[in-house]
Amino acid sequence: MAEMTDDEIAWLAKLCRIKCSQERREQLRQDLHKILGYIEQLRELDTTGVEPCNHVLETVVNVMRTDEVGETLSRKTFLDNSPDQVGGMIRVPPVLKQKS
Amino acid sequence: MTDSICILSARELNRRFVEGELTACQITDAFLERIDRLDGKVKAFLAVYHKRARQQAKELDRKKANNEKLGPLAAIPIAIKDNMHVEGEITTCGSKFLTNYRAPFAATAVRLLEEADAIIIGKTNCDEFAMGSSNENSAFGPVHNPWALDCVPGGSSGGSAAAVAARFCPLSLGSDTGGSIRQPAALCGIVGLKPTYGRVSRYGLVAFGSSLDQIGPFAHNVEDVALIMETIGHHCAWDSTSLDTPPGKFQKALDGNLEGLRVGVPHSFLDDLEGEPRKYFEENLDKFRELGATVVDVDLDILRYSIATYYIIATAEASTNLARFDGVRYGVRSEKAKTLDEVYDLSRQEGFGPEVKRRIILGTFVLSSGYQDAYYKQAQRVRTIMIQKFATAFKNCDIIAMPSSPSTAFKIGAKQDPLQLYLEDLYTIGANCAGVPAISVPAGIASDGKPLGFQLVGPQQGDVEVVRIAAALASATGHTQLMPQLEG
Repeated sequence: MAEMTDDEIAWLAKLCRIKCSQERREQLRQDLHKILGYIEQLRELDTTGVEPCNHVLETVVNVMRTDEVGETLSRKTFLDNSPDQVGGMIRVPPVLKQKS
Repeated sequence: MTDSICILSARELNRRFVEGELTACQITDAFLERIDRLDGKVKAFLAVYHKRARQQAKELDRKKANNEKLGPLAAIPIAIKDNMHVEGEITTCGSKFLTNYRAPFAATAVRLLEEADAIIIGKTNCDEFAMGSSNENSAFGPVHNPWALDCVPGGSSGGSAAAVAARFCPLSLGSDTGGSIRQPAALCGIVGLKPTYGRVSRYGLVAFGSSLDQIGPFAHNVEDVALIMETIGHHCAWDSTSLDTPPGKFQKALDGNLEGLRVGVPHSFLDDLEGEPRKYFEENLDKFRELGATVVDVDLDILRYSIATYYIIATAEASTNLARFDGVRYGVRSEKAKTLDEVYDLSRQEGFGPEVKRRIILGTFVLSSGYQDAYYKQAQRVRTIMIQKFATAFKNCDIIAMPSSPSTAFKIGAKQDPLQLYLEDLYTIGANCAGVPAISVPAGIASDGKPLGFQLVGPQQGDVEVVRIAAALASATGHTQLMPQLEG
């Protein structure tokens, strides 16, 4: 397949929310090119009429249960791991850039 | 005295405790002392639970003194790979992202061990988020193979494998998504089992590739694997893929009889196997024949495509599973973040190592619009073919034999190319794709002084048989008796 461009890597990095420096993007571009080159071999296989694998075991059944409140994590326990909290809620920086 | 306790099997330790020859405190102290003395060389552990383990031991000794009922794993120290939760303790997943994450609940597998009166001795080092085949991707440094300290132990469960090989504990838990229990078991000369998908609950295991992940045990003999599987193989209501059948009577099945067994070997797929790995593989097949088994050919050529298939499916699932690490609710949030977008972008940039970033980007690509059909859906179709080929193979044989890894342990730092490292999993990945149980047992020590592994693969839900056959073979070869010399 055609080599990926820096723009394409930048787009993927944006999709998965990982900030990447120019240098890092170039390294990723080269790595991905190599790996995708290897993965291309899957295209050789004739898979007409084969269903994509949904679940690895045929015996799986849907395991829905009745919608009843059971054991839950307490708010305090949950917040113990949060980086920043205020008034029993998780605090994050502004969603929009502040006009300074 | 210490080391004479540490070389004992899990069953023997439990027996000596139950019969009053050793106290739980004596057992625990012996292992903690050995870890403190020697883990500086191996670096298998990220956290050693000196206080917690001693408390558990004291409580057990009290229970015994009061004639209270004891669980089947009483007084056995067990190490846990650091991608599984022990309630109230840190789970790092080998990542900078989670250096401060304290687990608010226990993994089901860990809870079951504690209910069986096992002693959780600590958390072991692993490749970051279970992504790797050498334990070199940990944010906290590599693990050193107890057989050759300048070599890798394998990965991603390198710490759990090295800990058992070094006799820092008789049992440990690892996780296997593409070979991460079996390959390090092989490189460390011990036993490692990946159960059938769904056999052991994934609740409390930090997800990497949810359709592939499975928790499993490491031990230095197969009988101890049988013991622990009866405890951790229970159904779990918190994991919707958990099998709703009893764990299986692993211990009762151990009859050592291989007369009439049909061992399937995918000769064509193993065409490229040569040198000592080939020699040791053939020797183990000969041992099967000595014990009354026959070797038959099976067609698993489809496994040539297993690495490509796996690295599409696993990375796609990882890109989704690791999206939760966004710096908002838990984990290390970037101090430089001034906006919400920067919380995501910078926390992930700073928190994830290069291999994790590589796989997330690859996973994002194969799922992206325009490419999903060509890559992800195609990989899922090939996966269906793999499941069918394994099922067909098992019509003509009872168990399939393959090597566990293409070579012995390589030097730390020797393999820099990511693709080269992916190829280490050539023989193990197929079992994850097909959801079948597979075990690695020691195959012998190569001329470089390092172990090789022999892998047995069974049909779906054939875990008891796989362990039974492995135990019989291991008993005949004696390779599980071998241990590395760490002192001096």
